[in-house]
Amino acid sequence: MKKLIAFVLALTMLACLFAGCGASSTPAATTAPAAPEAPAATEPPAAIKTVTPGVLTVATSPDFAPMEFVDASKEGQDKFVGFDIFLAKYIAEQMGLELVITPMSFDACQTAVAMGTVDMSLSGFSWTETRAENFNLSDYYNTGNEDAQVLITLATNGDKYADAANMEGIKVGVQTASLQEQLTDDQLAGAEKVVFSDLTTALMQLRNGDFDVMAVAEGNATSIIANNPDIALAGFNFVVDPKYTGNVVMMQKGADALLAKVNEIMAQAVEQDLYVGWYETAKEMANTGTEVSYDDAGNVA
Amino acid sequence: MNFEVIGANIVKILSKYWRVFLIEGLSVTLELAFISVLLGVLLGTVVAMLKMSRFKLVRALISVYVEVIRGTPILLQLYIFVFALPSMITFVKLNYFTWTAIALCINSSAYVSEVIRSGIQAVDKGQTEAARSLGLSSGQTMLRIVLPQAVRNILPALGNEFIMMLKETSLASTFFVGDLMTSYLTVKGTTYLGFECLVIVGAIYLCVTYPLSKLVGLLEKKMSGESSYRSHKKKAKAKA
Repeated sequence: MKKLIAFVLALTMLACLFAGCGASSTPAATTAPAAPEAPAATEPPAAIKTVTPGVLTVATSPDFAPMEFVDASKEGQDKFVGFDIFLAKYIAEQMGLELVITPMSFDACQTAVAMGTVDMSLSGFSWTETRAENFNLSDYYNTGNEDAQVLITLATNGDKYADAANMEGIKVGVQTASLQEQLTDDQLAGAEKVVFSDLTTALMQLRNGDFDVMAVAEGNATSIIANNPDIALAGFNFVVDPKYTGNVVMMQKGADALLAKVNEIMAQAVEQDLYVGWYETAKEMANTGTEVSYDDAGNVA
Repeated sequence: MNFEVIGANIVKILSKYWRVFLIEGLSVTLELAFISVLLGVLLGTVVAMLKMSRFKLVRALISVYVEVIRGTPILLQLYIFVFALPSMITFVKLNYFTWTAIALCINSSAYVSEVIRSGIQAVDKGQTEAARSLGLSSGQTMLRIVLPQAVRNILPALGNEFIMMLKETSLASTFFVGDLMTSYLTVKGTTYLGFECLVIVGAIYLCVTYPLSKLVGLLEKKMSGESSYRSHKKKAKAKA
């Protein structure tokens, strides 16, 4: 008898489980086809629905000064600063929404946008074909951070690697799936490519001799050299197609009304010439981030 | 490697960012580990009891639960709990900290349940037989005879689980929940001084886990003492 009761109980539990699954998947199924229809009807901005009503939730990976980083002297939402944060604030303001920054790793940002747990992500994304296939990408915003792409090396190397002719067979460190990787493939075909996943770890690899030079955006190179006197510019500049120098805002595929609105707001920001000021402020904040300072010989003062 | 420069950088970073590491980072790490182990123990006890249930179906379901959780990486579980679950369960709005805490707690419950189950099963079967033959119900036997003796086996293992969890909370930094590893990410993101920040964070982890593991060792010694076992036995018999 007891066994029978237990069996019936277990069955009901299982049924509940499945019922739960069914209930949660139905709304998803009905909203999915509805989303692409909304922009087709060219309805007014009312069609834009955010994850949390009244709030613009933005994912970012705040470990990439000066684009997005943490000002440790501040608390709560105020501690997130950088160019992308300023832009996100502007977008939220213009949409009449409250901005909430949700920090997470770079990989997680893309997952979060794809799954719709955040409205958008601004994290220094460059335009790539794969991203354009899987996400709604905004128009470019150009900060100058990626305008020039350079090589950095140990300061002791001097200008050994200033000329592409000297780089036959040397090892070049590049971030995986980055613009720099593509540039290295195209312009330093004779060099050996070594892939890394994040800039700070790559610096350690550079010191350990895993590679002779590493390819980075000039904006990041400036921040790196400011804090690491043993690193210097190699003197080599890549030739960069302007198409790749901008960054884009990443939104979920199908969020077309939101995309249109964001593009409209960004055009407005360009018109008012706001980008330069934001970028300069961000760079200044990043470079005063630490009080580590050096004398002329490169020793810590 | 220039150790002089690294040392000086560490001092500089600490003088500016010590609050980020010691106040914010460490407290969140301890909080996460404490919550997940505490709730993990409560949930784990229930899971262990169900796993020893008389009903085959319950045992099978619980086995699946434990195997799924022990057989997949924590980072994967964190992704599921932080991204997939909130989009399915839309009627509750929780922040990332709470979701990671829930994920770690569920994870910990699976490991703890095995610790508790083996702790209980390590108690000599004769104890149960004696208690039952003296007229105690099965509930009374578990609560008054078996569990008090099982605690002796379980407690030190739980201490180790806490130490493990303390280190595993570092994976939650993927979602910047504010733990020690998040402190590392944020400070190195601004300063580009990665190695120095790693040394600082590593030292803090070690300063916490070393005394804890010593404490667990002490507990182990005290609990496994022959004399305490005998007195337990005597007490149990006197009660019976």
